[in-house]
Amino acid sequence: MKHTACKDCGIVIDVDSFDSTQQYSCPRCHSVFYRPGESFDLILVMAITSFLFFIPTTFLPIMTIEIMGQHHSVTLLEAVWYFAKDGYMIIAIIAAGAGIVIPLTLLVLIMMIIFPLKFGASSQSIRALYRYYEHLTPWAMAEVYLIGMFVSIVKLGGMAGLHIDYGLYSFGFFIMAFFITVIWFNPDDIWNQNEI
Amino acid sequence: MKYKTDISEGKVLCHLCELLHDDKEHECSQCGEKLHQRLPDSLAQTWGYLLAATLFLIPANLLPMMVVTAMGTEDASTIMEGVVYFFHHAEYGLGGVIFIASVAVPVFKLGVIYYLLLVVQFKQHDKAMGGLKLFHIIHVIGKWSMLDIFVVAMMVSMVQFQGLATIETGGAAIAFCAAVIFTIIASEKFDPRLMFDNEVIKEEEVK
Repeated sequence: MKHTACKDCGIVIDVDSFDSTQQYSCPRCHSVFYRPGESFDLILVMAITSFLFFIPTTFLPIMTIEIMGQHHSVTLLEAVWYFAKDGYMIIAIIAAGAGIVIPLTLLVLIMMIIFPLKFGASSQSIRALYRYYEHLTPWAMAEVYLIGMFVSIVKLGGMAGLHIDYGLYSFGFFIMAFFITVIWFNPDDIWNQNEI
Repeated sequence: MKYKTDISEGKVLCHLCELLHDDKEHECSQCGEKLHQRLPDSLAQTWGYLLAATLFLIPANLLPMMVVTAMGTEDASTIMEGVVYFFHHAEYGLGGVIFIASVAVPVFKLGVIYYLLLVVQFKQHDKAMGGLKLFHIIHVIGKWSMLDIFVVAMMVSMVQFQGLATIETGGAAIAFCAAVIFTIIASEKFDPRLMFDNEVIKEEEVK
C-alpha cells in the first residue's frame, strides 16, 4: 500500500499492493515515481570501491606533456585550480566543486546514510543527510570532467608529445564505480524498512 | 477521465521523499523538508534565472574562451572558433561533441525553459505532456554543457611552458560558467505541475 502523488503532474496515486522491487510510473504522465534500488549491502561495497579508487587519483598525475624536452604534468585538482592562478577564483571553485568535491560528498553521504542504518539507527536520525544528498545530486558532474579530459587529450595530442598517466585510469575507474553506486542507490529506500 | 490532484484533494507532496501530507502541515514528518504544494515563486524565479542565463550567453559566445600564446604570437579563440578548429583538423567527432555540448545544448535548454514558461503562462494544458518530455530531456543533458569549462581547465593547466607556449583562460569562461549554472538553477526552480494545474476543471467543463 502506497499513497503518494506524482511530482511531475500532481495527480494523487494509490498503489494497493506495493512491491518495492517493481518500478512504478504515473498513470497520467508516465513519469517514474518509484524506481527500485539495489540492496544496501551491495551499494555500500560499491561506494567503498569507488572511494578506494579516488585515493590514488588525488596525487597521481593525469597526463604528461612534452614540448622540446620540457615535461609538465598535472593532477586532478591542479588542473581545475589553474583557473584561480589566472584570476578566475569563482570558476576554479565551481569546476572543482562540480567535478570533484560534490561527487565525493555524495559518496561519503551514501556511506554515512547506510552505515548507521545497518547498525540499527532509525531513518529519522539520518534525515538531514538524506536532504543534503537530494539537494546536491543535480550538481555532480564528474563524468563531464572525464569526457573533458578525453577531448583535451585529442586537442593536445596534435600539438605536442603527450602520454597518459595512471591518474586518468584511476579517475576513470572511480567514475565507473561512482556511477554504479549512484544508479543502484535509491534514497527513498531509506523509508522502506524491509530494505535494510 | 477525471483525475484527482493534490490540490483538489487538499494534500501536499514532499518534493524530496514523496510522502503525501495534509495541506495544513508545514514540515515533512518523514524527512523534515519544508512542504510546499508547488515550488514557491516558481515562475518568477525561473524567469529571473532564465533571463540572467540568456544575458550571460552573449558574452560567453563573443569573448575568447582561451588565449594561446605560442612563439610570441597571441591567438584568442571563442567557443565557435574552437569548434571550427576541430573541423579544420578533420576531427569531426570531437568537433561535433564540443558543438553539441557548448552551443547546441545551452541554446536548446534555454529554448525549452522559455517554451515551458509560456505553456504555463498561456495555460496551454494540451501541450503539458510534450512539455514534460522536454523537461525530462533537459534534466538529463543539462550538466553536459559544462564540458567546455573542463576542457579549458585541462588545456590551461597542461600548456604552461614559459617562453614557448602558454594558454590563459579567456573572459568567456566566466560568462559561460554563469550561463550554465543559471540555466541549471532555472530548470530546478521550474515546477512542471504548473503546466497541468486546472486541467481537471477544464476536462469537467467539456463533459
